[in-house]
Amino acid sequence: MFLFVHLNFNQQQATVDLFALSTDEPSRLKIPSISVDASVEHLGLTNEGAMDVPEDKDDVAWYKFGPHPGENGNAVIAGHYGWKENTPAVFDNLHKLKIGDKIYVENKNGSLITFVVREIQIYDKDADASKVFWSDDNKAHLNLITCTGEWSDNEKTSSHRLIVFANKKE
Amino acid sequence: MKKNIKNFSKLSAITLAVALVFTLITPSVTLAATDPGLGTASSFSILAQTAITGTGTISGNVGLNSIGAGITALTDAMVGGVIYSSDGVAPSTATLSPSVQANVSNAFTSNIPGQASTGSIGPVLDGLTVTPGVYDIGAGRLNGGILTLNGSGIYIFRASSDLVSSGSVVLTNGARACDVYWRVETLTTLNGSSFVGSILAGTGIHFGSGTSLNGRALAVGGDVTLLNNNISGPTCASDPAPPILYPTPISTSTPVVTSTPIETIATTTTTVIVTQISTTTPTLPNTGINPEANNHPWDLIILGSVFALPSFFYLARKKQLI
Repeated sequence: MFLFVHLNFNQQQATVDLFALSTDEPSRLKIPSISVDASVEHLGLTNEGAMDVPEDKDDVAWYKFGPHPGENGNAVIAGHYGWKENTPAVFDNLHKLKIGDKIYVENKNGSLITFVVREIQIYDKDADASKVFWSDDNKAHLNLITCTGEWSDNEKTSSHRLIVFANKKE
Repeated sequence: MKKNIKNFSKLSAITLAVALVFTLITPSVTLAATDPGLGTASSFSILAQTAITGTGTISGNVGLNSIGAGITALTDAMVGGVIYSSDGVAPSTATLSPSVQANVSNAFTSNIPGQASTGSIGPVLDGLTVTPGVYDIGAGRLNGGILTLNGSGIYIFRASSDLVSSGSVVLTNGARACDVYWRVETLTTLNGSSFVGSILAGTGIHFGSGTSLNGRALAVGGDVTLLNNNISGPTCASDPAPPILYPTPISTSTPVVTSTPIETIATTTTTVIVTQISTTTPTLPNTGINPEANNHPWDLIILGSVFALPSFFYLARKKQLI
């Protein structure tokens, strides 16, 4: 999925990030219907193989090893759920989204990509996430993830994940 | 005589006081929900007024209170019961009895609205667990979550406008699909994998792709649109198999971890090194925040301050007086 290609032409080396060539990078996520306007961190995987999560509860994390928002495939953005220091995290109201609501991703160059909520699902925290990260319909999707369900003190995580599936508005 | 009157007054006062106390301490009686009585419409899986579009697998009867031409794609082969219309013209094979329409209308306009409300819930129904009763839900929304119906008895949900579901209804401890009714003032839109109950909607019932219904889709106005749906029941068995809540893992189609760097491919003039190919499906991120951590009990601090300040001034004043 994610390629860094180093081209060596007669001892001269050039580094080419194919994704950087194809589109700009996301900088802000905006969901007016639930008053979200968040900075986008670019993160990969944890040591355990899970998608990494933002350091700041007010930020969201884009999975940088997947497609950019607006590219064909599933771009994935995660954000925290819950309260910390007496203020809610960025996706505390994600469950209030409904089908047809609009989601906007602003790129660093200022361009705005619009997505429309298609489906909302609840996954077990350990469920297979293929459908979240992969699609083969040659269309651009944006999937948002946050926690839901019961908090486990032992496992230090919630029992389920709320996934919002959205399609790019053509 | 005077003494008798005095005693009578005393007795009356005591009786009144006891009555008053009983009135105050007796809990208000919650009226149970009653079956709205669909009568001849009970055998219908679908009833619409203007059109029935799309296809699906329907276990019961199908009725259109208009000419059969309004049933655009559904065929006899897809319907376990009989297809009825006002003119009995294909694809229907029979004429819709006015009593079916009357029964549904009566439930929609009288039998359900006439029942006392148990309470108002929602409009977001995700994560709620309710016991039998009559619930007003406003513009009902089940946003991909789970509504749990817990216990045997009649459940009636009344939406003051529309109802949109992309979630699931779970029946526990004796709750049955045949005891669940949804009265929706306007349009009902059912997405998600499944839904439960008999829906009586004012302006139509629209199904998303593949959504199954253990119940009835009865529109007293507007159309019913299908998109490869399965409508059956409503079943009267307790604790039926739970609906599919989560996508079935497709392990065979999941790309395996192949994050190993690919070796250098060298040619005489060009060297291409692909340093990373990630075709791993990550596990879902841990986006939760420990609810008991990092939250300061400001409410207790403020409350404490409210009591502490006057005490401080009182003590200071007392010291001054001494």
